[in-house]
Amino acid sequence: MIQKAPPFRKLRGYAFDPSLSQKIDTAFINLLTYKIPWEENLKEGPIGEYVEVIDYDPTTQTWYIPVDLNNNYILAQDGLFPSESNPQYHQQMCYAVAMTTIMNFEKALGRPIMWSPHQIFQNKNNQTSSDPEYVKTLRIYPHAIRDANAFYSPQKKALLFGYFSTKSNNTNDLLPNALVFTCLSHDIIAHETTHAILDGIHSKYSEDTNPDVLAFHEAIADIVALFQHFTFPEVLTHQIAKTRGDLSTQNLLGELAQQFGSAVGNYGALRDAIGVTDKDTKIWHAKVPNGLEYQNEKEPHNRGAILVSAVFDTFLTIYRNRTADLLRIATGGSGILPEGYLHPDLVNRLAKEASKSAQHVLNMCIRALDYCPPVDITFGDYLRGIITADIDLEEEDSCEYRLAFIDSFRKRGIYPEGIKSLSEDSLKYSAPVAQNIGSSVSVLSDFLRKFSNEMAFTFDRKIIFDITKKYIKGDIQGNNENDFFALHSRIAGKFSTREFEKLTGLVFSETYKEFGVNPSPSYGTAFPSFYIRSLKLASRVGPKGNKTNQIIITLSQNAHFVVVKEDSGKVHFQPRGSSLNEEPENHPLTLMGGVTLIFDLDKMSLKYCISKPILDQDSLPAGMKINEKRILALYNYLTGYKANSSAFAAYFVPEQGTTLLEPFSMLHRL
Amino acid sequence: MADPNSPKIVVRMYKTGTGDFFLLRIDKMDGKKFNILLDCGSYKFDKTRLDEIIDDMHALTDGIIDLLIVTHEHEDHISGFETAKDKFSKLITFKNVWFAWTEDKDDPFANDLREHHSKIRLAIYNAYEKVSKLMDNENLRTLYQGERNYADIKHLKETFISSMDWLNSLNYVTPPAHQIAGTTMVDKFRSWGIIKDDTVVEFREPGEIYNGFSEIEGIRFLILGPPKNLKDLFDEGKTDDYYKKREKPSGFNFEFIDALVNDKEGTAISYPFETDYIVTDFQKYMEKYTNQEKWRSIESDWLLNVGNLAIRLERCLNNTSLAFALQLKSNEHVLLFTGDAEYGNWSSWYNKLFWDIQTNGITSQRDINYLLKNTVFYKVGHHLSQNGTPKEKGIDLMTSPVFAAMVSLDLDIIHPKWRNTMPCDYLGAALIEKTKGNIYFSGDHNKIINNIQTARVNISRKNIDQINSVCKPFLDKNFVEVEIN
Repeated sequence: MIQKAPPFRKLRGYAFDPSLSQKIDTAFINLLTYKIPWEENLKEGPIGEYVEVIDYDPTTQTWYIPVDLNNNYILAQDGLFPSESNPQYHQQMCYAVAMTTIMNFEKALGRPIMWSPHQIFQNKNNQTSSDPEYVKTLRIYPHAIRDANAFYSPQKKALLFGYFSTKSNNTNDLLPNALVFTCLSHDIIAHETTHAILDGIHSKYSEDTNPDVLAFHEAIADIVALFQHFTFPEVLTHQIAKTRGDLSTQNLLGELAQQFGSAVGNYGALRDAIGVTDKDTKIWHAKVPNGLEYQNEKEPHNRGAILVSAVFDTFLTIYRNRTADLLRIATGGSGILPEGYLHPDLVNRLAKEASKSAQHVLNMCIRALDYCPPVDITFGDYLRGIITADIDLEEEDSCEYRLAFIDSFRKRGIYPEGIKSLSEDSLKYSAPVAQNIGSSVSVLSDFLRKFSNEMAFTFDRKIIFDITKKYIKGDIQGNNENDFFALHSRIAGKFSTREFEKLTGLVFSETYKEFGVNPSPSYGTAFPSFYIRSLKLASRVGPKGNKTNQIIITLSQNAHFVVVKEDSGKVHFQPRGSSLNEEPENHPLTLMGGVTLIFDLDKMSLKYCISKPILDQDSLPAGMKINEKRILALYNYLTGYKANSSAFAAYFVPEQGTTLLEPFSMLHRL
Repeated sequence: MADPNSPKIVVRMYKTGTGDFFLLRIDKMDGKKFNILLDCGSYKFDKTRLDEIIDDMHALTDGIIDLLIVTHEHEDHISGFETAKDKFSKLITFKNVWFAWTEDKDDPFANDLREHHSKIRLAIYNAYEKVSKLMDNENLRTLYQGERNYADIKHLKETFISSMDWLNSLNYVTPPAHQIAGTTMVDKFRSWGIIKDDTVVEFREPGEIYNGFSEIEGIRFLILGPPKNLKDLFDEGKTDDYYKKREKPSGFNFEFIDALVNDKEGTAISYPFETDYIVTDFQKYMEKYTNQEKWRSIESDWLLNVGNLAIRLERCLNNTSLAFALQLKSNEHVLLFTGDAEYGNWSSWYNKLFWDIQTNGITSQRDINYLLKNTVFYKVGHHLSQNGTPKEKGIDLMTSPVFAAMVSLDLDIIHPKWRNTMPCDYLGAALIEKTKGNIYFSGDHNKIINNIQTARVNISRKNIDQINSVCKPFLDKNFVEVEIN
């Protein structure tokens, strides 16, 4: 007899959060069975391949007994029954939702997800440099703080969930003084897990360098939490059947989207941009964008809301297009639904279409992340990422998904910088045109092939990490660096050309000091320091079976300046380390540059080069100039910073623009 | 010769940095002056300068302060009384002292409120003790020495501790509960020798109208706040009617407090779950998760929340400010002093608060709208920060064509953290517009205007010229002054 592990582990959970189970009209939709890929070695905790739930409560200094999901009784009934008073159930819920979120990302990205590495100091030849260390599991602390807050800690690679008591006047739905656990809310867990995953893909997105960056983190986390709801057709079926009258105007999905968020306090606040409920008529209607939202709204949360509503709008358009024929069939061509209940078959089909549309939008949103610059992202960059990624996978926009995206971004005034028109063609990143790069790329091609061969059938995340590190840095076990000529030294050596500088906007020449770039800690003063943030293989299969094989490399570089303010009020920037920087009035300013290079493995060519330049690319290769536009924008943003900070930040964050250790802790207060 | 029926009021703001210190002199029938001192505090006092000012005050007043009004217990409002207590008690006689009802030991509601504040102070104190211990240099080294951003972690911790120190020092009176409970400002002022045996101490309540000083018959006092209910006292403001548009108001976090303070019966910490679920032999877990990956432990994270609690307490104490109006009976002009009142204090004035005001022999019931409409002088609340003056319930209703304002803000003598919120550009620009530039600052006005002038507001050249011209005569003086009638 062959013993085969089951494909899934079924775990019961709240579809939303416990508060819905206490209301008669929502209780029955609040229970869901999450299907989690079977993990053979799941330990008590649960502790698996991706996450470890550690139930330690520092406020009382107690450990709660970890749940063993392999226990026979628990296995036999699809996990513990949802309960607020059983901490073991809390552990199960965290595990189920975090894993669901992780699997959604893996499905869309086509590779195992990695947590952002633990950055430690390495002391080598009396030179300290930072060294990334593999982080196997994201740690989840279900009861870490006593506050209406939950956050992802990039410092600890951990999710910290809080609990708090409600006061009787806050809400009618909850017992006065009842405890509310943030770790029991699908939205909060999915939201925080997404922060962690995004940090693993783009670790510089937690640095607040323009009004979009932190807003983007929030918005993506909210989009994933929201669309994950819609991928459970069970929830939709009930709601579509119940409120059939709303269907023709598609109000229901928007209203639902908001309700999902409101169940957990302000967590769904980003979704307020989707629509409003009329105070008098109690009828919900979608908010009509005026096209100025993006231009006028500067606060991170409200800005994030614009992105969420743009993506949601896209989803509605796609859903409408996909169900128009169904409605016509069901109504004999009139499109007007008759009185009474909807036919259950129609309800099921509609729910399925909604769920499919949601999965599709979610995939597009996630996939686009690979096509974004590694630093200083804006919503416009993201739109370009969405379009480019989708074209790569499917040349023809047969269902007009891309058009739907472009349209809803346009309606909110989100325009990428430097784009002449909002057509698919101009939004799509184009293949870089630069002379003499071709030869350098071909030097790399063997190297990249070798890398992809080694990676192709590797699924163990630790091995992937080690191989990647070897290919980036060489010398993984302290061996002689010459044994393996790794990517970092290749770029430093072969690519220190004006053409490559023009292409990437980063500094590779020996005059790097004039641009505030530090010398490389590895190769001595002849080379500027730069950082390879990632090197990854992405193999994806499109809906029509076409395959893409790509290698994605992201680089980043820091340029350090001091701001010199003249009496006239004019500012200019001097590289740090040169004279004049001793004045106390001169503030330090660090401009981050970065580039995402996407190589087509099959054609062995550089396909895209998505750049946030330090240099003025237009003046290259003739002359080297700092990118005035970017540094001024950064300066203006950071000096206008106080307008956006919270009271907590005003008191407890060291200086404006310094790196926050817990950037998400402050954004999330419920 | 002064006309007793329409007296002049001279408002003098002493320049002692960021903090309130006002002397009001009102014409009396006998041609002399009735002297009111309003608060005496600063972020940081220069003792020599303070002594000079008290000498100046002594000369102006012959050492008699007819009425001392103390708004609330924050350092930047009362610290001068302690710093210069010897000089004050020797040179100055305080005939009457007014506090808000919150300081009245015979008021059970006030006693409860103070007890509540003390409990929060104790929670803050305990959390602070714990967090400083957990984050002392040795522990930080053990936990984070290998981290790339070890230096950042240390820096963040230092910032946190120093900001906590500052927030703690701001609360000048309320002791942690386990220390001497029940201390009020009256006790403090007595211990500093400001209140003596023959000093008349009174407590004021919202809705009162006071005509009791026979020497200044042309003047009435109207008491606005602090409100006598918890809802308003704990209300820091909602975002839509406010010059702050950046954060959600928070509630008192009772679960957090409960983990730090034993209740009256001495019961320790409340647990969120039945004890059946608690691991008894936790050593093996400790070994594995706390000792092996130290950098991931979360022992101190929850305690950082104490920062929010401290901010919350600061703001609630702001709401205990004694807010009042002085009205000139003859022309109905109002001088408005709100201390550091925040939104809850302001909004309570709109809640069934009326004063019977007699004009031209006719008594009628008047409300806050009437007072704001007649306001010709405003002592700007909370040093021109975003949370000291509401828009719709405040500035928008001050419509008098004659209007001057004073701001106790000095960007050179201020806690660096307060610079993040002071001055508020929206509010500053609105006030400059309303007063047509008749606005006075305790610090360098050019610096402050520079700070108000952000990309999102507009200040006209004409108004800036006016500010320059009203502030100029006082450049080399230790006060600014305006005459109101």
